[in-house]
Amino acid sequence: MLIKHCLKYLFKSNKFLFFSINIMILITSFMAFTLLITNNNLETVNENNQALKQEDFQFLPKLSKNDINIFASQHQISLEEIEEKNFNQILFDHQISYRDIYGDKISGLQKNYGFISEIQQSKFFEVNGNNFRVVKHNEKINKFFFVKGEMAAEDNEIVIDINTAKKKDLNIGSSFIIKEKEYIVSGIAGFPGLINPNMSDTGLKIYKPATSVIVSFNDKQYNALNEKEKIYYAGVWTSQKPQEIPSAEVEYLLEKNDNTEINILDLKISMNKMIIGVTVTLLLSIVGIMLAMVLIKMIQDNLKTYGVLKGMGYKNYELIFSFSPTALLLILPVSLGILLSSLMNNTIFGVMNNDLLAPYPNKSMDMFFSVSVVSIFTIGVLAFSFLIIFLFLRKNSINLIRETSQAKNNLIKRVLLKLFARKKFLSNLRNKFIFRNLFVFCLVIFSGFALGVQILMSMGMSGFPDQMANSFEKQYKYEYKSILNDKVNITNVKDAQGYFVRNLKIDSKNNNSDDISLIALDSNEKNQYIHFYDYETNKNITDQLSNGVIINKWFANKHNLKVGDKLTVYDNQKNNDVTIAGINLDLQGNELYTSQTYYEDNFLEKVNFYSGFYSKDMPIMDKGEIRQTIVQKEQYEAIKLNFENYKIISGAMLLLGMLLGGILLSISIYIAIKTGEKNILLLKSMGYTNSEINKVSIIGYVYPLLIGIAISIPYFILLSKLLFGELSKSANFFLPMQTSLVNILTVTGFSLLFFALVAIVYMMKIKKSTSFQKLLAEQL
Amino acid sequence: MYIIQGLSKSYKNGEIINQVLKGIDLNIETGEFITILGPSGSGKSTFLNILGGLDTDFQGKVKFFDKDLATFNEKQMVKFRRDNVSFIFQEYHLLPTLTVYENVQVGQYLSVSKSSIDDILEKVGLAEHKNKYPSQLSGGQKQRVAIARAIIKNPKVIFCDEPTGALDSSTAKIIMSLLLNMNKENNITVILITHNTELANLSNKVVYVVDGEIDSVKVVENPLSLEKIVW
Repeated sequence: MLIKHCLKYLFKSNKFLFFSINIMILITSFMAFTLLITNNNLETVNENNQALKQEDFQFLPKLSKNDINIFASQHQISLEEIEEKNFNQILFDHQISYRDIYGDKISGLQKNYGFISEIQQSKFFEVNGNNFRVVKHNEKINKFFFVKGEMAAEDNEIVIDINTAKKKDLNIGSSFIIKEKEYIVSGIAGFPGLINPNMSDTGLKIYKPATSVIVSFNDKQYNALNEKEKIYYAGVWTSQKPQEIPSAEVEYLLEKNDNTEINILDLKISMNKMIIGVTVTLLLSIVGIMLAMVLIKMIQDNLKTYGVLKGMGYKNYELIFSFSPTALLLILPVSLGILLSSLMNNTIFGVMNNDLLAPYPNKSMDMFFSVSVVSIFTIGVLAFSFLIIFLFLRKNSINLIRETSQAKNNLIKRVLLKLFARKKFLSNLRNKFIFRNLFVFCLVIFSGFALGVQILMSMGMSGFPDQMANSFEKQYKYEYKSILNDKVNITNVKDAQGYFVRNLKIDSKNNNSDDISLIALDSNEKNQYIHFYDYETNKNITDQLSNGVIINKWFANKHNLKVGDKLTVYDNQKNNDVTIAGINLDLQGNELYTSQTYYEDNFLEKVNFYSGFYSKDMPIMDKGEIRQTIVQKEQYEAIKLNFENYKIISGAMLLLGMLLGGILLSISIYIAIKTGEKNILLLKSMGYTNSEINKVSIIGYVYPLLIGIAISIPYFILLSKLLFGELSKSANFFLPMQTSLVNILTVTGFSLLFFALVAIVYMMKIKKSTSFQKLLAEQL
Repeated sequence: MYIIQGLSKSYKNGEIINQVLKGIDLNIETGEFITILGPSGSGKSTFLNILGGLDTDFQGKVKFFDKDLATFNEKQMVKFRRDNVSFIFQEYHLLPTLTVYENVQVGQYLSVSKSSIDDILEKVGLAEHKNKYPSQLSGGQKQRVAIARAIIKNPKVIFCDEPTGALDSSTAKIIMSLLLNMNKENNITVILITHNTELANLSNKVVYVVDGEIDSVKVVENPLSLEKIVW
């Protein structure tokens, strides 16, 4: 019977409160489980990729003069031709495969450094605005993941990527036309080695997933394609402890950690974990406090009833167990949240990860785990509610009956009232109304706080892609970046700024070794293409290059470095101390920049050649001298596109914050009105106007709301400094959470607007309220 | 003051229509002390709520100084209650977080004349309790605060719904004496609802309501004094 009373209290008398809390918990559990399932799946993708032998590094062996002489004599090519022509052109003209040139060299490297390798080839072309990447089938490394079918065997067969198959509704046996030639789909595959498959041949431009198509033909068809080709060797370490391959042995070496394509998955996983950590903790704390507050309200509302029941002879444990239905506050929405997230996760994963070309593992949440989570939380909530009720019910029945709503102002209330005493009667009455119920007062403060933190966080996150892109645009003023193949004189290149790269190591303050690239820039004031701006002040600090090294914010945060610190960098031969001369706007990367003069003075080593150069115009050099030319605009677009997902996430967080903050605020005002309903009706019966009543009973709550927002600002600053600072160390980027005046004003403006909307709804309710019977009716 | 003609009121409870008031006709003059008697559920409180402007959903005419309450919009009704009416409830309905003084101040805010709160509290015998909270007062003291709050508005009519219902006889006597004085000294019309037939002897008009209808109206030429009432 008593349980029935509790059920009726929740479902009938307080249905608004009950359903609001349920919605909040539903959203939180949906969000938490979606993030957990997504993370589970991303990690499964990662595991699958390992099973398919995803590359550990990319490289091209360096041919010594002796190697080239042997190669020339073996294939009867004159050394003059090798000097004159692009190496790829030579191979094409003489129908020589890469295996023929690098074969012996590769075997030696594999043996000496403990890895296996395989050549990776892909060709690029564009048809009707779609960017095609034709990938040659791999046997050992970066193997295809066949979701359906098999590799193309016949000349008219094609393997297509899973996204294209989905977009164009293709299946095995479907027809697919490229450049007016019809192919039959023999397989649908994921491409684990090419986690971000939408890259251009330069490796920098990222095509939009919507317009990119990855296919594979048989070798004969692939070789027949006369298109731009990207070739590299992919390696997988066979030894436990990878050995460092010296630069003298390889033309270039790109480790998995530095590979933007492969890094995206790691970035997603670390980003996802960061969001899980922050959002779920924040949401759970909101829900936890809400639950506690609702329980206290429930008890306070029923104290008189329970006093009477106790007087009738009911025992404490009988009364305590009558609160068992409070478990429904958790079981219903969490179960629904899990169900919804299981149903929707497939779609959400697809939208959030449309740039991944790995098949979605579709791993749902482990049933045992879900049930355990729900049970633990339910037991926790029940234990918590029983404890609170026990504390309240310790008093004897007569005290329980007497205490209800007639308690005199306690010390806190008296201090608050004295502190906020006003001369105007209505203002004073408003304060008395607000402080009447400290529970509601705190609830409104908390809703302002929650609203503030959520909006500040989503705004902080939404600025991240733009900040990345803007810092890039602001700093890098070149149009082209060319990476040189060999020691080349660049004085012929118009307005070029050369740079010299050394790959070194550092020991961080935590004694962790880390790889860095020290880039010494040509100290040419006229052609200064790289500008550095201080992270804090935004002041141009490019001239500091001559006083030490300039590092980026992520690197500084990761190694706890500040301007003026000394950093020891070393290679196999010797150590050198460098001074941190500045921390610039960049948010990722382990590149340390300095000037050529500082490098030469400090390392006692003359820079005789450049690793590459920056220029305004497209360099006209023999292509054999330039390994790669990167177009700045493409790089800029790539960065922007790479972080586009953050906008979706921040948008979702903003919506969530608005929803939760809105619900919380509505609940607060609802409780404020509900608990003060008799007072409102009394004033109304006496002839107080609606505007006077609104002023006294609703509008005053704008102050605790503002207090909540005010608290949320330093809290958020602290949260972003501590939590995000720590998380950024383990991630491979620095997530700036800046709290600008614009953000604060937006939060305040938005919260006030939301408050106004909620207030108007309740003002209308007060206006319509003529239920004086409630006032006249005697309550138990 | 009030001319009531054919006042009816019904509630619909599902399919069942409950006729609470059935065509009541009554005239009330300024300065009268009227007692409305009747059994529970006879419609007394509903009648009082309509006259006080709390309940606007009724049929018939309720004229207050020639103005029909039925024609008042919400704003006019608020003004009517603000300028003319005070209520005293059995359950006191004081604001628990306000002191005695502040509770009376809630009434004073609405009056134009702004009488002194201290004088009123002196009159009701609560001067020394003015800084106490309702939870620190006895039932009789709470009702005296409610009376002070009602008087300070300087209303033309005070509606009292069982004002002594929850009080012992000696306290009830004090409350009734305050109401009688208020009626006599300030010429305020008092409309009192009670079950207590003895109390009816204090008033100069007694209205018996039975089953939503006026059973009889008795004009009392010489009301008894408080001392002669048997509680």
